[in-house]
Formats: sequence, structure tokens, C-alpha cells
Amino acid sequence: MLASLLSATLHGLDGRSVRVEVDVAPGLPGFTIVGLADTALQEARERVRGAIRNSGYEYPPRRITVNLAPADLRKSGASLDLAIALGILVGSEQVAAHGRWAVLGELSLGGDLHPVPGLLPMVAALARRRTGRVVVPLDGLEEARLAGGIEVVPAGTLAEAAVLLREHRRGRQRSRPPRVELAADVVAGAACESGVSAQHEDPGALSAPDLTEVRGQAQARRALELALAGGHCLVMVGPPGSGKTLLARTVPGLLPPLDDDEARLATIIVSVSGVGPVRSLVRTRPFRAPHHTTSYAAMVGGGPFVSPGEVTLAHNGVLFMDELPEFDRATLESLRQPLEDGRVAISRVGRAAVFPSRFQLIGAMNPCPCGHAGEGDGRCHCRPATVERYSDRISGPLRDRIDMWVHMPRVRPEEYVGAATPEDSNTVAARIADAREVQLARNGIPNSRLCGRALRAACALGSAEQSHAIRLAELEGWSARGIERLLRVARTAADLAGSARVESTHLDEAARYRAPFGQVLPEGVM
Amino acid sequence: MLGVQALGPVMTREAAAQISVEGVAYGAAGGLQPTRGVRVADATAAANLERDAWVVLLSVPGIGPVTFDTLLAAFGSARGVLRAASVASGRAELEDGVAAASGGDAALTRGLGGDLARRICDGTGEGTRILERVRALGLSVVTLEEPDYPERLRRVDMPPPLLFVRGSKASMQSAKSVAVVGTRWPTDKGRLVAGWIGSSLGRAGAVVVSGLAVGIDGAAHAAVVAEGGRTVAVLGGGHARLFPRAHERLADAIVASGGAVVSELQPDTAPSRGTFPRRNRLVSGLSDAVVVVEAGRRSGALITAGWALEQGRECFIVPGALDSATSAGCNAFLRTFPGQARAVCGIAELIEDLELDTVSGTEAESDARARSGAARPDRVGGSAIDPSRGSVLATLSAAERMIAQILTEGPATADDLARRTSLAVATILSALTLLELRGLIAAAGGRYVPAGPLRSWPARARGDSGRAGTRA
Repeated sequence: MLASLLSATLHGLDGRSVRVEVDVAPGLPGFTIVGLADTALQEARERVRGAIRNSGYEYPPRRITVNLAPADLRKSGASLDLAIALGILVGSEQVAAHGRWAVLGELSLGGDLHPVPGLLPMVAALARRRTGRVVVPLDGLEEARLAGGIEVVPAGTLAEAAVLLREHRRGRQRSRPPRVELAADVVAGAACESGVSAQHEDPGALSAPDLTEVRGQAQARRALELALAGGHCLVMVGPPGSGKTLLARTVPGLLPPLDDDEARLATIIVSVSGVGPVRSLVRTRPFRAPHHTTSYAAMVGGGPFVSPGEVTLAHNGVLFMDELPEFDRATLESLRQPLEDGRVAISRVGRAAVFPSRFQLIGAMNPCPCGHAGEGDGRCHCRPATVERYSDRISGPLRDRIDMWVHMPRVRPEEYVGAATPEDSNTVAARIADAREVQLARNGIPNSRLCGRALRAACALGSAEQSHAIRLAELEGWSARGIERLLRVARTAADLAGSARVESTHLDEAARYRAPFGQVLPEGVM
Repeated sequence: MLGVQALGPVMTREAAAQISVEGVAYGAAGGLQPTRGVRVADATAAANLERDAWVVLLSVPGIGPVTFDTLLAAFGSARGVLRAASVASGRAELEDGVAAASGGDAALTRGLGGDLARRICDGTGEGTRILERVRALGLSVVTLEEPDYPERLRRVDMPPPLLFVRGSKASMQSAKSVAVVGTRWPTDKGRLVAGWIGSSLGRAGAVVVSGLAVGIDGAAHAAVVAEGGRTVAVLGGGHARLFPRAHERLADAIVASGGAVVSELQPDTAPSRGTFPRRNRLVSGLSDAVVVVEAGRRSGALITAGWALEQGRECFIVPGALDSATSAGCNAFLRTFPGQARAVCGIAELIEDLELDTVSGTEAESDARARSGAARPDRVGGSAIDPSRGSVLATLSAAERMIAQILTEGPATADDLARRTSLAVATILSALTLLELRGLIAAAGGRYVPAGPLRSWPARARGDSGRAGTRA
């Protein structure tokens, strides 16, 4: 007998609904899956066989053919396990099915149901197809309910799912389920359907150190505030132990929460990344800190399933790259497209995906291989050429995309003990949030994304400031990119100061954050 | 094909062709064709030819000053040697000549044996190429025989027979010449002191000699150039292999400001472990006195100081704190050579000890000022040529003046400035940019270093009305 169930698979960040047809026919016992299934799916045969036997059902000794439609869509992962198993039970007439069901979930050999990565977008995709009900693993219930527009029924095991399937639908809702656009209505649906509060905070934010922990480093604190307020990419240069990493770790506590649109997308990205089922809408801005051995594919995304990389996981948040020059050249260069376009296009044989990746890069690096160049204490014995080669690992095009550079000297002992307690994160975060609001109200985008005419309009320099900016352009090496960098950062400085116009002092301050390269030797500066 | 025209005064190919008839024409095959029986047309031309011959002969591997002297004694001139080497029986002739000249000194004769004679014969074939190379690099050559050869260097034991010079040969002959050397990894303070000494010496009209290395050497050179003075950089390799590469621009600036870049090595010689001590000997040999600013225990600057004592030159050491690793060598040197090395205890005192106040007559100084004016048109006119620190500071805003004053004491980071001025960071950063635009400070890594009038030791500001305010 032929059984047909709806399920879904993941394609990039999108769910795609898949029809699972199972034919249990007389003939030599066998189990074939057709329809562009990948290895994990082929292995579903073993999981399904075990799950059926261990759930008290009989695995039919007949010829089983599973077809996954549409046939041209590559299917991956274990999300179709439950549909295949139930299909076999229905096809072998052990279970009767009523109504329009969709089922999702991975099976264990014992028949337990496990959540799969990307449950949220998959459920949303089924909702878009007006599927009435979906059975999801119990663990993924909260995540699936975030999608909205569909009745979500949890099941802990294959047997439970089979029981659910057998039931008639009672009190079927006649009301038309709201049409769900992925990443557009997820939150509205989630709020009204599942009662998950959109205000619910992710507890991860609590682990970030407070700014009061950072001693000294007045300039770097100021730079970080400016960078976060304007969304500017920032690189901190300093010797080991100067507090670069600690300062960067305070970032999550300084960033404003995601707005509704951003939160939807962030939740989907977290769901797809497969760190485990999402419990609530993700409201904190992502802060990703990949290690410098991170591979190219892990950074931009890819791999056999074209899964999102670090740049996507940091979408609308911060990508912190410690020891920037130690990253692979290819990995570093791969950041150029996402930094420029805010998205990354990945193509593999038979698959292509575009992931959003509008992140703010915050980097940290030593000034030279030994780390002590520019300390002025004679400790660094690196040759000038070595120092230059080290900083040259960050190529010109990448350097151009970094708006701000700041040096972090070693902290002096008196700053550890004597100095007054510095500002705490909440005070700074409030200023950052205000400045961000001003920018969004003016241009709809943060200052870091301003360029060309919009940038000039936003800066609206007076004639005195204009001539001053031209003098400053000399320090920037007269490059157009350098001048734009100068104006963007100056605009943020003005926003932080609550000034509608960009004054010369803002330009002067912005000029200090230019790229430091070519100045390793004090005597070379003439 | 001619290889003789290039080196001294500017000469056209035709002129060179005319004078070459007497001398040595390098054949296309590479051998030297002696053209006998034609009279010397021009003494200058003869000198040029002899100089070329020195270059060619000294480029032969294995010929050092001693061998060269022996050969010269045997054949009368370098041209004579080359001529002897170029005939068919060249090797035999060279061996005979050397045997005769060495007066039975067995060791020398053996050393100059057949192998060397063969090498000379081979090496002369390279003559044209070497001379072309020297010309292409824009170098001039001074030989020990010529009046241009620095007198101070002539007096040392075994002076290098040849100097390859880029820039002004006269800068090596100045009335007073002082070497400023030190570690390649100085502290900020050391760099600042080197700059103070360099600029004060430059202002006093002395030529500053150093080794063009990074660190103290570079700081001293740069300060002199900024002051409009003349400075001589001695290379540890050949001119075509300028080391360190990071100082290529500094070398150009040294030449442009009337100084010279000098090497005793053939242009394509790579700098190596062995060439730097030779460089150090030249640095002290070209100087009346050597000043060591910072030197660790095993610093090459101490070798220079050692050479200075051996060559009978004055030796000044800037002492350092007891626990300073970068001055350990300085202090140890002072202890090892009491009565020979002198401690520097102030810039003005150093100038006095060097008897530079008498040398720095108005002539040298106005000369330096004129050059500095020529190099920087924006500074020409009135007091703008050498504005005293006080008058510069008077034009600054309160915040800028505070920062500038701190920076005259040495490099500082923005954080240092924030701590010492209690100004807002944004204010400090703005002020730093304005100071940078005025050329009063420069950014180096994360630190800011004084530049221009803020960098030099304010010796001239003594009695200046603005001075009391500046040194508050």
C-alpha cells in the first residue's frame, strides 16, 4: 500500500517541504530511498528499521521504496526519519492516518524522537504550505512554536507519533492560519500562538564581563564605544596582556538588543546552526569569537550541507577575531565580500545558498610577532621588515574595510591599583543605544554603512570644516576610501556628542583612528 | 666598448673615447688591451683611469689592503697590475713581480701564488661590468691616493683603499665629525636622546656619522636631516644591497640634505655577520669622536667605541640606569676604560666637550640654515626657519600646549596623556591631530613622538622669553 506524508528539509537558511511517499509492496525484502538523498538520509534506513522494531511494531519483510519529492531537490539530514518510519507503518497497514499531517524529527534506534537543526525554518516552510498540523520532537516544541501559523504537536517517541497520527482531528480550527513569511511574521505568530514572550531574554548575555573590569585603556574604551555606536569595524593593536581580549569580551554587554526583524532572523540562524533546540526568540546580538585556526569553510559557511559559517552566525552582531594576522590568508580574504555586501553567496556542486552576513568585525592583533613593538622599552627585537610582514598579513583591501584602528599600550601598574573605578557597561551601553537611534532615524542604517552622497549629506560640513577635512586627508594618504572612513567615524563621534553637525573636533578625533601601518619606525617619520 | 668614462667628473662618451686611447680599453672579449706609446693627454683623465683600475683590481676576490699594497708596490700603479695581467704571459709576469716586491717574504709570496694571479687575470675581464654597475648606481669612488679621501680615515691603521660614496664627498672632510651610535632596539628615551644629540650636533655645524641601522643610528641621522645638517651614513653592505631596507627613504633624505652614504664594500656585497664590524671601524675612523647613546651588553656600538679608542678618537658614553638592560653595555664600557671613555652628562656639556662652540662659527650654522630652508620652502623667511620652542608653544591652545609639553619629555601614548592631563580622551585625540598637522608631533605605532621644533634639545632657547613657560 502506498503512504504519503509531508515533511521538510533544510536548504540554506530556508525550509523546503518534502513529500515522502512510501510504497510497501510484495517482493524480495528490500529498502530503497530515491530522490537525491544524501548519506545521512541513506543511513535513515538503519535508524528507521531499528526504531520500528523497538517501538513494538513489525518491520515488514517486503519491498519498501521511499520516494522523496520534489525529486530535483537535494535532501539532507535526519529530519525525514519520522516521516519515513510512519510511512512504512501506514504502508504496511499497522497504522491508519487521517488528515493532512506533517511530521519532522530524527529517530534513534530505540524509537525516541530527537530535534533536528533548522526545525524553526522547516516548520515555517510547512506553515507557508498551509499544512494544518505538524508533529515535532518534544524537545523542539518551543522552537517549532516560534514559527506560528500551524498547529504544533509534540511527540517523544515514534509510538507516540503513530498514536497522534491515528487520531481524528478534533475541533479543527476553521480560521485561516495566518500566512507566514519566513523571518517576517514568525515573531507575530510566535507571540500570539505560543505565548512565547518576545521580550524573553537569552541568559547568555549575563556572562559578558563589565567594562569596570577593564583598567586603563582610556583610548581603547573610547574607540570601542565609537565603533559599537556606529557599527564600525575596529582593530585593536597591542602587546600581549594589554587587555584586548577582555575589552572585546565586554561587547555583548554594550550592544543594544536586536529589534523584531533582526531577532527573527537571528533565531532562525541559531536554529539552523544546530547548537540545540532554541528555547525562545534570540534577542541578544550575536558575539562570535572563532579561534584563529578556523577554516575557510567554517568562516564563510559551506561544507557538505552548505551550512552557515561564522560570518552568518554573527549577522547583525559582532565577529571578534583575536590574533587577526594568525588567521589563514584565505580565511581573512574571504571576509571581504561579506563586509562589503552584508551577505555571502556559497556555491557547491548541486547546491547554492546565500546567507546574510552583516557583521561588525572587531579584531585584535599584536604589533609584531613578539608582541612588543612600539612599547619603547627596547624589548622588541623584531626587524622592521618582520614587523611590516606581520602587519601585511592583513591585506590592503581588507584594511580598507576597517574604519578604526586603535593602539592599546601595556597597562601601567598605577592604573590597576590607583585609578578610580571606570565607567560601567550600562552607562556606555545607554550612550551607544542613543547614538544608534539617532543614526537609524536619520539614514535608516548605521554610519558604518554610509557612503558616497548619503555620507556627504549626513556629514554636512561647513566651509571651515571642509577645508579642515582636506588638510586631514593628507594624513589619510589622500585616498578616497580614507576620506570616507574619516567622515563616517567623525559622524559617529558627532552622534555620540549629540551634535547635529560634524565639527572639526570630531574630524580630528576620527583622524586618530586611521590605519597605523607604515609607522613602525619612529625615526622613519620625518 | 668603454668602461672608463664614468666615474669622476661628468664626461661624454666621446670625451671618454678620446682619453681612453692612452689608457686601458676593455675589449669586448673582456681582456685588457694595453695601448702603449701614446702620451697622457690629461692629468684628470689619467686619475680617472687609475681610479677605475683600483675599482677593478679591488673587486677581485682575495685582494685586501695588504695584497693590494704589495701589488701596487710591485707594479707602480693599479693600471700597471692590470696591464701586466692582460698580456699573454700575464700570470707569470704577476708572479714574478710580486715575488720581487715582497722581498722574499715567503708567506706573502705564497699567498699571492698562482691562484691569485689567475684570479686577477679572470677578474679584469669583469672590469667593464663592474664599472658600469658603479656608474648605474650613481656612485662616486674615492681612492686612498686622492685628495678627496677623508683625512681622518687616512690616519687609521690600514685604511680601506676604496670608498663608494653616494652624495657629497666633501661631507666626510668637514672640520668636525662626530659619530652617534647605539643599539638597534632602543628605549623611547634613548631614541629621544639620540635625536637631541643629533640635532644639536647638526645645529653646531658638525657632521654626524652613524651606521644607518634602525634604532639609535636612524634616530640620530633623522634628527640631523630634520635640523638641515649634514650626516654621513656608513653601510654594512654594498650600495645595491642597502640594509636595512626600512631606511631607504632615510638614506635618500641624507643624500638630499647634503650628506653622504658611504661603503667600503663593492656595490653588490651582501651585508653579513662579518661586514658590520668593518662598518663600525669605518664609522669611528670617519669621526673625531664617538658618542654611544644606548648599548646592551653585546651591542655592536661598543665595537665602534672600542675602535674609537684604538684609533685615538674621543669616546663619549651616555650612561644609563643601573638596572637598564639597554644601557648595560654603556655602563660596563665606562667601567672598563676609565680615563679613556667619558660620560655624557648633558647635551650642552657634550657640545662643550667636543669643542664645538668654537667650530660652530656662524658660517657653518648659517650654511645649515640655508640648506634647511632650501629643503623646506614653507619654512623660509625670518624666524620661521628655526622657531624656538617657546614661540611655537605660544601659538597653541591650552590643551595642545599641555600635550606638547608632555611630549617634549619623550614619547607618550594617548593613555599616558589622558592620565597626566585629566582631559577627556576625545579632546586629547583631537588635539593630537592638530599637533600632527602642524608637524609638531608624529604618530609611531600607538605612541606620539615630538617632531620638528619640539624634538630638538632646546639649547638655543636659553634666555628665550618663552622658555620659562615651556619647562614648567
